[in-house]
Amino acid sequence: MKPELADAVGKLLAAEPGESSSNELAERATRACEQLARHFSRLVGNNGIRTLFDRCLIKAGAQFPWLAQAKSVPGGASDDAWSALRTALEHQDPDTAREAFVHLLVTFIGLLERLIGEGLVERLLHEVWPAVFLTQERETT
Amino acid sequence: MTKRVEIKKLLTGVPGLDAVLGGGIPELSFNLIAGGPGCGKTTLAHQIMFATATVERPALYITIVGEPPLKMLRYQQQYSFFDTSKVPTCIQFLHLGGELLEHGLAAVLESIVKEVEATDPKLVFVDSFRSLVRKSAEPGQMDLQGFVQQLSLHLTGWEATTFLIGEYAEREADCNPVFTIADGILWLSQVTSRNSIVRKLQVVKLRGQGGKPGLHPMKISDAGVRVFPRLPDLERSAVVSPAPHRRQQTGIAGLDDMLGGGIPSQYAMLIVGPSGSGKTILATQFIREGILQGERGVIAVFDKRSDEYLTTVPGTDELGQLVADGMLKLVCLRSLDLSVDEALEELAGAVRELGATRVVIDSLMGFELALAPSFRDDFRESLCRMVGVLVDLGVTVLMTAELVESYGESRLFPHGISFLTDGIILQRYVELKGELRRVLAVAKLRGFDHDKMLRLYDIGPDGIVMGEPLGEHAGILIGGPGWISRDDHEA
Repeated sequence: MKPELADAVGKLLAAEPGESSSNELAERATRACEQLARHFSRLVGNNGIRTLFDRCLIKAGAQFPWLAQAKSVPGGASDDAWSALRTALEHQDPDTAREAFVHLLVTFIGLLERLIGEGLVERLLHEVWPAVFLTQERETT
Repeated sequence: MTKRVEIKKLLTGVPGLDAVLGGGIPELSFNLIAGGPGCGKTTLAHQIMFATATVERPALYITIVGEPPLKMLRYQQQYSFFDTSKVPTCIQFLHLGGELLEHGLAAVLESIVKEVEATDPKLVFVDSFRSLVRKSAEPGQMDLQGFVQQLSLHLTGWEATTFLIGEYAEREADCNPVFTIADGILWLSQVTSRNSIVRKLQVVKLRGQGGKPGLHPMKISDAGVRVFPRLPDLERSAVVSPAPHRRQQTGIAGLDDMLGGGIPSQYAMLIVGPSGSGKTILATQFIREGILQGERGVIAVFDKRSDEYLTTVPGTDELGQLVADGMLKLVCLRSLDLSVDEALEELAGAVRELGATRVVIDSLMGFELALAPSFRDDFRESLCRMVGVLVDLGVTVLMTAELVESYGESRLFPHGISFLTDGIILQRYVELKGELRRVLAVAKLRGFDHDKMLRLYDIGPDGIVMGEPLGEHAGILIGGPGWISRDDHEA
């Protein structure tokens, strides 16, 4: 896992380790997923996003087996798409939930990078979270 | 006074395509990029989009059902035109596959309208439009004609230039409403002949401006699509051609005299001879002499690499130096799926680059063999077109051709090309006093008087050296000359 990417994802959860309850952390994680999905579903559609996320839940489940329970139900209501993930995070202590979510999102970004390239993903992430994900051009200027 | 609307043209950025389109894609037009699977529709659309999209002219690329967007982006990034920095500031992607599958055509139209109103794109691409056509056939779906009309009206109203991308068979063109409503149709195809595949592009329709008719060869490389217009635009300015029919010396003393002072400029000359007779040597001497006189030259080689080619002629080092000094350019065209149009594009490009006035095509047999089989059928017609374009550019063209000899009969290879030329220099082997000798004659020089004698020549370290005329002999062209009796001679 790239440490700088893990740091950036960690920033999405705002509070420092130990400062947040599992419920608050799950809320922020779900909101981050919704933001990400809103932008990336333009590119791959809602089903595409869910398919990629499910794949990452299974991959991340190797380290955090309880994450695999958050996999989407085929044909499930899209409004409720992230409720399983929220529930799974709420049931963990805050540090474990944070670590698992960072691992999940880094896995997701890694999968996207493998599919469409680091450059494009970097620019798209910058569009979603401009303050957190800087593009190469901005970093060098 | 009537003020007509001015239709601006959008430069596509695809090499050769703007020339075929008559200057570019008309702004605000509603276009279709159609053809069979794998013929380069999506690549062409992406190339146009990346070349034309700017912050002021943003593009929206809508994918429906067809190639999944992730895969499309993955593969399209392999082309050098794919500029990641344009995403998403100048180029936005939008996937509407779910809308089509779950809610049908009306929902797709609504989503496109909503997105266009929200983002105000000036370029809209819909890929693949074919999936909409299929969906429209299902019961209860919106009528396809109505869909296309509303889409066209809306996107034109929002001042967008639109491209629909779709797989179609040629027979569909008569009955599909998309073809009727589209302002422009670019048809891409792949022609298979033996083991070779040739891509072609045709402008089937283009409202408001004249494109170049015909099937234009195209290629897809790492740089993307490149189109080779059948009749390229001539840019004479780069070439300073000698005055028409001014004589251009060959540098071979004796041969220039036979020609009446040299080869008339802007003539297409053929050097015909059997293997080993010195055709390439004569051609390179012509080029070298031109450079000595301040001209520039281009040699098209088909069956050798440039370094290999240079070793086959006298003065290898000197020619190599001329190449290094930018006075001579060797254009090596060795591909076996070459089109005449591609060769012409390369040659015309080299002529313009150097301001060349002398071009050698060595040899026509090599050229014909380098062509894709489907182009060989039209070789004479294509060669005629190519020579015409080169001569119009202001250059004198020297072509070499193989003479297949069985004494008593001689055949030109490729056959039937002599009529394309303004002049022919014929080289032959003859047996003279038990020795194999080379003879040469000027067989044709359109519009000018020339020496009709057959003359001996040798090939020395510096090239061709002309010898004596064979005025005392007869039967030379059947390979076995005999002395003419004094009486015959006097008669």
